[in-house]
Amino acid sequence: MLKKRIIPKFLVRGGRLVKGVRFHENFREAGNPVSTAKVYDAYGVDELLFVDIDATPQDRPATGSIIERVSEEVFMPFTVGGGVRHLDEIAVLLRSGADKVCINTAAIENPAFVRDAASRYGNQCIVVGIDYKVFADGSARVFSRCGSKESTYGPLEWALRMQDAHAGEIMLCSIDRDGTMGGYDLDMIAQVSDQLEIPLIASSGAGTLQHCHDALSAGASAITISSMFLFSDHSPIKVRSYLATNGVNVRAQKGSHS
Amino acid sequence: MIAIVDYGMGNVRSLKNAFEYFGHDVVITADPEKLNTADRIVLPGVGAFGDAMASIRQRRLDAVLTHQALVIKKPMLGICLGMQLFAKRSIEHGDHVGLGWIDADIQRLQVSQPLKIPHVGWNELHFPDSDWLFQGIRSGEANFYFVHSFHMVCHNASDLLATTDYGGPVTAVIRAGNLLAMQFHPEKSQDNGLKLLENWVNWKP
Amino acid sequence: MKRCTKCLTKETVDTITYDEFGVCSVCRQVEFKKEKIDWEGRKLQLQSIVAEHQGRGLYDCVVPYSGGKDSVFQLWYIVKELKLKPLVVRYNHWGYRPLVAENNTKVFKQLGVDVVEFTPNFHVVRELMLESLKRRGDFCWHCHTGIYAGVMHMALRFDTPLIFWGESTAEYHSWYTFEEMEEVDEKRFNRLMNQGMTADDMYEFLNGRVERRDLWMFDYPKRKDLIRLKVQSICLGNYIEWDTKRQVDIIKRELDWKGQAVEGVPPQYDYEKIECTFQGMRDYAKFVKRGYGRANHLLSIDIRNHEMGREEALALEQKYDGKRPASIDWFLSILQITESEFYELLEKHQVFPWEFDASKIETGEVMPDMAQWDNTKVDKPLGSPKDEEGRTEKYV
Repeated sequence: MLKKRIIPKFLVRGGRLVKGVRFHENFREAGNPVSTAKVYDAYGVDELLFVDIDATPQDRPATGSIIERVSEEVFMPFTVGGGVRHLDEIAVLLRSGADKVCINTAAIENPAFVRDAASRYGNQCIVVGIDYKVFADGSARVFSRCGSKESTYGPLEWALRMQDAHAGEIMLCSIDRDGTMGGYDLDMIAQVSDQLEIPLIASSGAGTLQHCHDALSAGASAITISSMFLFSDHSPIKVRSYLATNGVNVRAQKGSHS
Repeated sequence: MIAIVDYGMGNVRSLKNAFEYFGHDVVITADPEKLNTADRIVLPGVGAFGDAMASIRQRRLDAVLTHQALVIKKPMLGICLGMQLFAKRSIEHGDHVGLGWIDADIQRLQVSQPLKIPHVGWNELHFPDSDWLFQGIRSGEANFYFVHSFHMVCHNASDLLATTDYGGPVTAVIRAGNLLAMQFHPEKSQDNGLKLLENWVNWKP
Repeated sequence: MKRCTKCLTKETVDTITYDEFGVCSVCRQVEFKKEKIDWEGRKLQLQSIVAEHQGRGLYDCVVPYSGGKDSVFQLWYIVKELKLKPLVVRYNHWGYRPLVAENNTKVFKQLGVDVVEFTPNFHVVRELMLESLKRRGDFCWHCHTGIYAGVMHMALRFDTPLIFWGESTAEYHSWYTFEEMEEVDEKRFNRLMNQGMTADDMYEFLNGRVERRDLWMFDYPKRKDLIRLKVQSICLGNYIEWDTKRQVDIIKRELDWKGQAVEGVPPQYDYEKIECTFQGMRDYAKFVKRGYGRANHLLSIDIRNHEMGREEALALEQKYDGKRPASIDWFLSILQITESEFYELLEKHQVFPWEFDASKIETGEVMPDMAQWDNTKVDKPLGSPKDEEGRTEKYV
């Protein structure tokens, strides 16, 4: 049986890890990316996700340098995102050691890019990141450019379009819940995962073990966790042992083996 | 010396790092001379079958590799798409001819909701535990990282060494003499994956 | 809240899982240890390790030492049974209780050993304590990393590759099993010792309040240096069958080691964690976050060793676990925070399904030696600047 995945999400700014709330507020230091990757490898996490959050605002691609250093000693899947908008940038990241790239703003501004990237590198390399906000009337809109530019699409609609464009996975991120540690958007996760034929990675909101359980039970194939690992006494090992004990299909652990 | 075939596709750096982590000498190359002098050859691969075969043919690697595989009978390891290239044929985005070393063809995974395509993540391997390849891997703790939408269907049952479950059994490891191949990424499968690579390097035909 | 059907271990423990009978992974590990390990074979392995290192350098091995029951036994065993010449390495965490110095004098005089003690700058330690309390609800970061990294630095400096740690973590947790015979290496350091934070991280977190070089002893040494020395960093408890009570008897008899009362545990456990003034608050923080304290841990061990029945253990847990330590004010003044700030900082660290209820808390007994614990005030602010109301900055 394929296991559900727990993916620590690390935001990189100026070569260091940071973490904010709702994309723009209260950024706090979160550590050294390379040593953190080694720590998480020692935990035996399923994958790692690094997002260069200044790449799009600064109009440059994400750099592969962190992954290059990390992949000398850490042998697990990496996804890199931030500013990915040209095919050769993807090649550079893959050559540095990334297994998948996350495309977000570029997909909105040039949807054909996703199709081209999937065609050149294989759809399993391409994760499309979808950031969204929910308004007072209950409607939801996808935002690009790190949550600053509103699009005309709803998350489900956009996810289906990206699936058609041969995205390998969708990473759905609630801007409102980011960094709040108040729980995932379970309704949206259920709605989107139900309709998608490709895997859904649910992002934003983990604060307790119960939240993690609920998000995976709602239909996500994987969840990302950021603030909960960085600012509280929860490790990926705890998350996994809790989920395994409470009926979720994750990699069970016996000692340090899984 | 381990040679990793460079045909422009595949996560060669991680593979190189993985072998070097154990102190083995590795070269990433498309040079027929280096492939000839290597003790073992690894065929990586990420992307689409058709593009991969075109890329291999364009570098005239198909003849070189086939000679190493079937005539010299050098230990060959195929990984992910590299494994699929061992087959005769693939229907991924068209109808493509593979290297033809294994009597098998590549088909799209067939699953129904709630299972998704691609098959991405950690899945359990079913394997013969007395086999040299799996020494140190324990049943129940044998998860490996898969990321693929197409899979190999073997016509020769004896080629099939290990499977995983995803909407039915899915080919995970095949072996025919000096030819070994894995659908998952051992270089991304942490301790388990490194163990398999180590066992393969230590194996003498 | 799930609990093991055999011992008292709650599901909020980090690595714990339960099998189809509801028995926890640690109980199963201990069963394995008693029934399935070939201790004769392991003893032979130990002898061959000893033979490899004996007489080779200035010292045969390094023994990390605190003065608690385990490290005293380790040292006794290495000197008396293995007949090795150790370098005793001790990290001074600023929290040793007075009795420990008396015990150590007796132990070192009788066994005849060289001892190196290294003490980090207290100003740096305070900063590390507060920062790890904020980020992980656990102020002991400096001690875990100071011991496990610092001792490795000492081994390198004294060119001594063999390092004997004590019991395997498989005795109490499921980070590793007994079969794995874990090496005490960087991976283990990252996995369970440093709370996911390296010295590099701490330096950034402390935002200029310490220099980078102030943290050298908390940095794990470089892999290439450890490989060059051919370091072998192993747990004695993977080679001999660890039996705490028997071992305590040995050190009491052979070395006149003394125990004393400890905060938050039934009085019969006067041998456990006797060396640290911070132990009461450390266990209390864990109770606030996860709903179990040291009594739960000790009673579970006794159940596994068939020295106590479950009913009696539950009654003792009810009576002793989770008390607010009498040392709390002493502790809070070191970190310059109030009690309500302490609870606020721990709020987000609570592990589901546990929810701390401050109204149910009773205060524990004062330890007899508490009046002698050091009260020196350091006249220097601690931590990032407080806000206008004098409150400590929280991360979440």
